[in-house]
Amino acid sequence: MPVDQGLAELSDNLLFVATLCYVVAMLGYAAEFAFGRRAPRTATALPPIAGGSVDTLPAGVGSGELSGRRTSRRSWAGGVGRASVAVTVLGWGLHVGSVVTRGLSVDRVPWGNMYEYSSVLALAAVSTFLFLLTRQPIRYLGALVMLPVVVQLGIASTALYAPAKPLIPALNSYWLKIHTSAAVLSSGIFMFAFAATVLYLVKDRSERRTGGSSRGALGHLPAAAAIDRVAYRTTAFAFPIWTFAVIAGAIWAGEAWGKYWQWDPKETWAFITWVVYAGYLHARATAGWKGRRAAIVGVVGFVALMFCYYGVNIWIPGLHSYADI
Amino acid sequence: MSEPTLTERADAADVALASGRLSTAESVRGDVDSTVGVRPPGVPLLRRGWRQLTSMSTALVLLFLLALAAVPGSLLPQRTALNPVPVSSYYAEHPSLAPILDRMGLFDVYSSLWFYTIYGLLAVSLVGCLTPRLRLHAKAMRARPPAPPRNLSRLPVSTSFTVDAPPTEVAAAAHRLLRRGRWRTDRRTADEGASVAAEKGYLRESGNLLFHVALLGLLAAVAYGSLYSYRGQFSVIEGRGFTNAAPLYDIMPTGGQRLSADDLVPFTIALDDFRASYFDNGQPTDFHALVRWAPRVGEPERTRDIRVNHPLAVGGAKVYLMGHGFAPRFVVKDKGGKVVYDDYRIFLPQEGTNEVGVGVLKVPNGVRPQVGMEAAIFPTLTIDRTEGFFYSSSPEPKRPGLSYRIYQGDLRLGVSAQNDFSLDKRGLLPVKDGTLLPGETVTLDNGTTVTFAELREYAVFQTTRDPGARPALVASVCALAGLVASLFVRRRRVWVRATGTGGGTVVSVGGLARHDPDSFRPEFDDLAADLRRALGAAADRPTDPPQQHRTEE
Repeated sequence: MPVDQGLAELSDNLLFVATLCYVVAMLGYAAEFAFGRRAPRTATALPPIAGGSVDTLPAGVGSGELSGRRTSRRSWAGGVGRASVAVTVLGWGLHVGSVVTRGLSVDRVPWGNMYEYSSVLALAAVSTFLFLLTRQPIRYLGALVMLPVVVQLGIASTALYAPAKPLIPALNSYWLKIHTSAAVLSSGIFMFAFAATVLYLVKDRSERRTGGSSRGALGHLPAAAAIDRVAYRTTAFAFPIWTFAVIAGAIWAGEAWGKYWQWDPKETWAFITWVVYAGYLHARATAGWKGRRAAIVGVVGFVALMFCYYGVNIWIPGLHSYADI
Repeated sequence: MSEPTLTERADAADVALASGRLSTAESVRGDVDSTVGVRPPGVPLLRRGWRQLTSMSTALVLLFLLALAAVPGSLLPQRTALNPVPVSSYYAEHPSLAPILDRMGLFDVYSSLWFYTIYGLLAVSLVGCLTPRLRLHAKAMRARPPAPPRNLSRLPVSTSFTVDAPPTEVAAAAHRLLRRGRWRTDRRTADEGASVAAEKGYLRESGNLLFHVALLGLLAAVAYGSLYSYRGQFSVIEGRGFTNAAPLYDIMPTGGQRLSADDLVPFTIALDDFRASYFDNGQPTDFHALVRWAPRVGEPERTRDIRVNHPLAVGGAKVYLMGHGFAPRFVVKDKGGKVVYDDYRIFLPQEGTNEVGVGVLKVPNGVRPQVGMEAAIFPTLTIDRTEGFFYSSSPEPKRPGLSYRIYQGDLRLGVSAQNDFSLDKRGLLPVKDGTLLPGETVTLDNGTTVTFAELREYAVFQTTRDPGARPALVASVCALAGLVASLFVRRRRVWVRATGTGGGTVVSVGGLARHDPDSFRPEFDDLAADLRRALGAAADRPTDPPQQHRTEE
């Protein structure tokens, strides 16, 4: 099976430019966050939020310029924010192009090694952000979402870079499409949720200190509870997908290795990640765990997820070690 | 601010009552700390312990302990893996630390007592939580939707309008409409009019319960599987066969304690051809093991191509292609030309060498002194002229060659511990080395000849049988379905009340969303509009625009 070097090169270049776009957008979001003016409190209604959740917000608390389109129209910071979204969309388009051309160059799904997987994971995180942005004003999350995305792509293009190659036989299965795509999609959404969780913790801390109304740049943010809700909903959405990925992985393991579960390090860490996120979902509905403690569990879940990916692939030899670096 | 009036307070209580018990979870798994003080001091210790164990906080702690307990197993070598070598090499590297870790069960984390304890406690806690919830939910499923609160306009979303139709007709229409929307409804008539109470989203709690019950089922399936499953490895050389019996395995079937020899599925398998294909750079593309097999000895044979990811299923067991290698055939004759040895030897492939295999030949009988040989098989024998060593330039057997060293003396068979792949050289002297191509013969000083007669490939298969696998899969799929329902189904209540007055019937509609109130508003507005249209009140202006205030929970 020949590799189309021209396409592979195009893919690498597209990814490079996409990463640059994300860096620019990240700086833009950060600038908007830092220099944006605080909007009058009454000006914006609460963001309508889709999805399912147990809790709601105290009405009309601290939603500011970053979350409202109307009030930010006049300030230059708002302009920077909107421009950042445009740059993100541009980067996203190039990123999609990169993933597609990579797949075409080797005539298979473009997540056969760590370089490709990292790229698709970052793409899933950015897609989640852009998709939610069409439904609710969450531009304030931009910088925090772009940061892990850029770091991820940076690592992928340097340390993890692998030239386009066909698959080894062990990976050559339709389960690669099913299991890995579910894993990468849920990981990307978890990455987005992680950004929201971190921001919630920061905002919550400042609200506690100032007794409800945080000052400075944090004052631009919506209420901690609203950020928490974004974090919860995305996590709750990603969790069943992750569950499916683990089940599909077990089925594939049964097909390929003859045992659906053998506590291979990758399986173990997928399990740990699952358990911690399950803990997060329960904690969020439990008295004494709601809020900060639950959010910290969510952060731990993401750390476990990242270890499941980077740590296990790089440091621990196991049956998944064919996913070469 | 004035104090709320009595009616207002009663209304608030009414709404709280109406919204109550939408979920059974909180009422069952309450916060322990807040309830402990309420109970009389005479509560038996056991009962208190049980409550503590089944509380959500305890379940959470157990969940995190389980995650934590799983960590060391991913960092230290485990015996559960088929390959026991890593544990023994860990022993060799850390001679003082290893026994301590071993005593703590750290080389068998997932079958250690403390791991079982954690998940056992978690299972008990889950049962303790689920039992009352199942009961409550079963009751809720049978119960009528709760009666409408006194004042529907105090609900988070509400509207009202006036129609000409009498109250009973309004209730009937509302009932029809709600039934069509798959609401669970309950019609009531009172002196002043009629009302319909409706509720939907029971599936959320059903899904939640299904998820947790399925997890228990998964645990049971795993436990069952670990008692009755087995796994073993065997090799078959091209042109030869294998019958599924314990002594014929390279790695003996290991499995649950309840496994006996009778549990081995009595299949036979013969390898006709093994094919490996590679890219030019030596990366493998595919492996095929073309086999003839029968479910038991004497039954007609079928053919099959076993590949990686495509196992052969036979009578509840599965046969997987795990590896392959080369097996040279050696013919050894004494000086009179009598054949004293003629067989294939399995050579073990060495990683990262283009499938170079190493192995030994031992000829204990028919020749004096005994003959031993160490050899390496090179699929494509290539000689590095400048350095003077052999290597294989391709994993494919394009130009196979053997490099060997022959020993004579005492093989010490039965005297020292040795396996099929090593020589005990203490009683042996090297007498000859060199290379052989297929068909070539080397003659030793005493007239003994060793011929590299032929080269074949062999395939390594793994047999597994796990009767718990299918139940585990069913349980996992149920868990996933339950999970999705428990996260995404939304629970709502709607009430319609029709009250007859002098100028027509006042229809008031109110709704309450337990989950995701934002998406409920448009849903509710549609419902109210449909009802108005059904009652022919399209021309009517609503007396009260749809309320837009939020739920406070």
